[in-house]
Amino acid sequence: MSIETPLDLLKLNLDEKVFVKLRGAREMTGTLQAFDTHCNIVLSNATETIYELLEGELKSNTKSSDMVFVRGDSVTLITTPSED
Amino acid sequence: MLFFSFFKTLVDQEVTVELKNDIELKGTLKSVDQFLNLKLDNISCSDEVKYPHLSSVRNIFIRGSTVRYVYLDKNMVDTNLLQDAARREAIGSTKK
Amino acid sequence: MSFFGFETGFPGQNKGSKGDSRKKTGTHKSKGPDAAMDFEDTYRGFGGYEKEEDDYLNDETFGNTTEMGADFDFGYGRGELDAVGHTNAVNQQNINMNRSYASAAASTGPEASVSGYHDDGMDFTPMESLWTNQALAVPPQQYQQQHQVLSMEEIERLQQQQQSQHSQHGYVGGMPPPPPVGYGYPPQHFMPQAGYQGIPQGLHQGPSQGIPQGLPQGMPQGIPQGLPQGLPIPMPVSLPMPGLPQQYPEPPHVLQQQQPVAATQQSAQSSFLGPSASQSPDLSQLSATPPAQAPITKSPASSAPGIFPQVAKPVRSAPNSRGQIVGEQDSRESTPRGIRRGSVRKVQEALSPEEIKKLQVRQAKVDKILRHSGVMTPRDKDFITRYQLSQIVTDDPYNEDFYFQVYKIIQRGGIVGESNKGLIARAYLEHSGHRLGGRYKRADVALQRMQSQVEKAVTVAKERPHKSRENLDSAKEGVLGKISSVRNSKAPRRQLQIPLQKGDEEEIESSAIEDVVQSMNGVDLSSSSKARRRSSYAFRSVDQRAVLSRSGGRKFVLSLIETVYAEVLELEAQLRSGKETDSTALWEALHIADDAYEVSPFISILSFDKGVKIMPRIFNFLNKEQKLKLLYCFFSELSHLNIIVTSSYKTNPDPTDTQLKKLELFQSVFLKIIVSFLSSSAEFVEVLGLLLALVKNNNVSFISTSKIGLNLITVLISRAALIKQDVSRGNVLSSMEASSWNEIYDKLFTSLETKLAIVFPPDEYTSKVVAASTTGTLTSATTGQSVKHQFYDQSYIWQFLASLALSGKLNHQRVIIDEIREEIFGTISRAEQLVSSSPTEEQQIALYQRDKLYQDLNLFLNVMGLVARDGEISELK
Repeated sequence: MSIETPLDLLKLNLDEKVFVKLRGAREMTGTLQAFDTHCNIVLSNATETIYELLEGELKSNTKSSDMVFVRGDSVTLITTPSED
Repeated sequence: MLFFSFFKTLVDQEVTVELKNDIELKGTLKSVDQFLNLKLDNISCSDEVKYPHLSSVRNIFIRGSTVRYVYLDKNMVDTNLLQDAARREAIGSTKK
Repeated sequence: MSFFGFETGFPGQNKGSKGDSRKKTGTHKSKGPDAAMDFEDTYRGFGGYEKEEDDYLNDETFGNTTEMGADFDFGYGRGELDAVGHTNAVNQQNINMNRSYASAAASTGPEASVSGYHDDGMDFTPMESLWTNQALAVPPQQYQQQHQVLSMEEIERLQQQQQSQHSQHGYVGGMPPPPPVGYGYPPQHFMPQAGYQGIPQGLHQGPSQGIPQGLPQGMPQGIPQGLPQGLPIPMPVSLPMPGLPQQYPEPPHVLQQQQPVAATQQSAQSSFLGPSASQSPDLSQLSATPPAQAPITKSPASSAPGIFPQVAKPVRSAPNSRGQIVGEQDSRESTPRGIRRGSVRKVQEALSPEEIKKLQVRQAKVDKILRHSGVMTPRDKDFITRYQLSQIVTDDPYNEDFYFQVYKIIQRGGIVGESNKGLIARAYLEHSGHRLGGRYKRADVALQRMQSQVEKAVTVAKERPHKSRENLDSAKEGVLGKISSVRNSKAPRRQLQIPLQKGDEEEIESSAIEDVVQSMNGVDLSSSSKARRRSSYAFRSVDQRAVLSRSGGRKFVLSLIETVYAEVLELEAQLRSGKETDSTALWEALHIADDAYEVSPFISILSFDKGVKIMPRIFNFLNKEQKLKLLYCFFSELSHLNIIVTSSYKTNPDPTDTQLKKLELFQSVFLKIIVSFLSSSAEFVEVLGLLLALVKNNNVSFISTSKIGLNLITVLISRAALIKQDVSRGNVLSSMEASSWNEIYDKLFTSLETKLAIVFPPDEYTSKVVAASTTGTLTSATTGQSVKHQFYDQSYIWQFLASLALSGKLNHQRVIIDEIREEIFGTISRAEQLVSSSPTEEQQIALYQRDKLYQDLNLFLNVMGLVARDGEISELK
């Protein structure tokens, strides 16, 4: 498969673990199950991390879900997770 | 069309929608359109204390653009099929 | 202002959305020449009062006695009119009567009406009644006398007169003189001037005296006509237009033309605005737009909205007829009105009540239809239509709405709707190998199948010992100690005395192997690749990336996988549509024989779950030769296979849950393919070829430390054994086949000899697997119901040993038993301990587990005519 568009890259990661950065200091990792041209995605076994700055200290909360649909307009980047 | 198609399979299932303003609503998905606007029935708000104005609302129309996440049960999704559908969609969109 | 005059012209045409804004615009406009319909223009400052210095006709229009204020009721006819009083009520009727079918059809035409007025008389008398509540000066009845039917000639003549009039008055201004001919004819309808001029002029003839000042300007042309002379003033019903055609020679044309126009207008409003507008005036005038619907008749369409838009429209038309209209707007209302009315009324009289009613209904319909016209542009509509069509009418719903369609069918477990659809879906299911994966899969299906294969082979083998028991007994005796010849299990077990003895080894060196390779149909791998593969023995890193880097890198392999998916999807689509499938592209995408990398990219494809998952679907499209090549490649490079590396306790002593899941996936998907291929279509020699590929190119003892590896070897040798048994019953193995088998087996055995015990993973490993799998959903490693009782399932090991022993000669069996003796007794003692050590409430579980242990062990022992039971080994009955 030739990789011509950014979305082709995304396609490579179907059924693979991906790391997604989202608006509002959120991140999510999970297995990519579906995507479209709007960057709407479905992740399985997803873990969301929400960062917050509380009194100058960076706190993070995590939240897990078996299956989640993420609307594309929240997505800022999608990549493969750094550690595996 | 992929996600429109996807959400159609979730009709009559219970989903949890998280909006961009952090409100979380759980309810039965009644319908969806191509903008991924959603209609939920029998909603319950996970944080009634924080959003009391929703406590008396039973069904609701959600504009698709205000959705952040939709949490699903994994049994509602056929992942292999969904991946295939995503591939088809990707192939389709590059052809056009 | 001009727009009041128009009202009559556009009875039913209220365009929903636009109407509203127009109306407001309209008011503004009145103050000056018509401007383009720019939003800014029309809305800005709306409600404010602009200076009116430019509007030199303002006084004439509104009179200068009344202050209109910003809250003037443009709706006219509702609030204002009601207040006017009785006489005005009549007017109101007139207003409402504007809606005739014809005018409705001409809906878009407001502008036209504007232009149409040019020709009308120039009476500049301010219509004060409009703005105040004054009673009407002239009662409507007056009009009755004015009616007059004009012939074509008359109309023309009148028009000419009027033209000259115009010029005298200087009103024509920017307006081109109306064409002398063909008023009311179709083509001309589209030209604003022509259309309206002809008719209105004709009407002019009538006495102009009757013009009631009290009449609202909005009603001008259309309304008057609507009033049948004979009818009592408060008209109960709207006036039908049908009657008109007969009396007027021209009207018919107009009507016919207009309807089509109206239709087109909806789709192409903007462009048609000008022209259509011009038509409407004609219509209303000619056809005597009759119905006094709104207030009086209560017809549905006649409601307020109708009135508003009418007012608004004229303004909108402005762009087209701008210059012309300016001065004349005012004038038209005065004189012409009365005249027109009179003439028209007569026509309407002829209508029967039924006709009138009919008309009303029709008009109501038209109104309804037109109510929302213009909300969307033709492009919008086109877009929506296409969008909807794409969902409703699609060549292949499985393309457009793939997930939904297939999902639903899978969910229902059957097919709903056309059988055709069902077939398609079923085809998809079959060819996508869906049942192999997803939530329907049974993880151990493949294993079970393999197991049954082994069992079958063992069963056949059991028959042998009976025939030569003596030989057997003596053969076993030395290995497992003295075997109890008493079949009664209660007899005390003797201590084992195992003589030190080792089976002889034979070095295999023969051309038979080469024969096998050569005889493998089509499996012809280049010597260079063989060399490459041999040199890359036993690569033992668990790190997936290390393997990947040797076959092109992760991204490369992923892109290969996606290409493969694309090809498979394409092939499946072809299959569904009944086309011939050509798997060439798919074959190339697999890079089976690609020597460019150290490790075949195909092997790396199997490193990914999705690469494994697609395999059954790939196999649907490969021919036998291709499948053989694929498997040959697979077995040749088995050591590189990621799953082997991660499932070997040597290279991966700490398996994670994820890895175990991968392992299970591989077994349930790919192992199954191999089993079914081998058992359904592979020839004996082909099985041998695959086994040879495995033995020759890999470190067999390393592979045997992994569950997957052991299973793969088991599959091959048990299949070979089964075929051999089969053959021995009927056909005869060729000597070449027989000798090849012996040689290959010996080679395999040699590589395993002295290391057979390592097929048993150490306890630390098995306990980790059990621990990891209890957190997950794995089933293959667990049999007990409570965590406490879960233990590592060794059945696959016994199956391997059974198959190995099955195909071996006595000396082979002796070696095997010798090497794994510890494990045999270990298993027996574990089984016995289970029962004795477990609390009574768990006895059931313990017993079950004990039986399981014996069952596994006996699969192996049975091959040699032995059986373990109640803590001891005895001869098989």
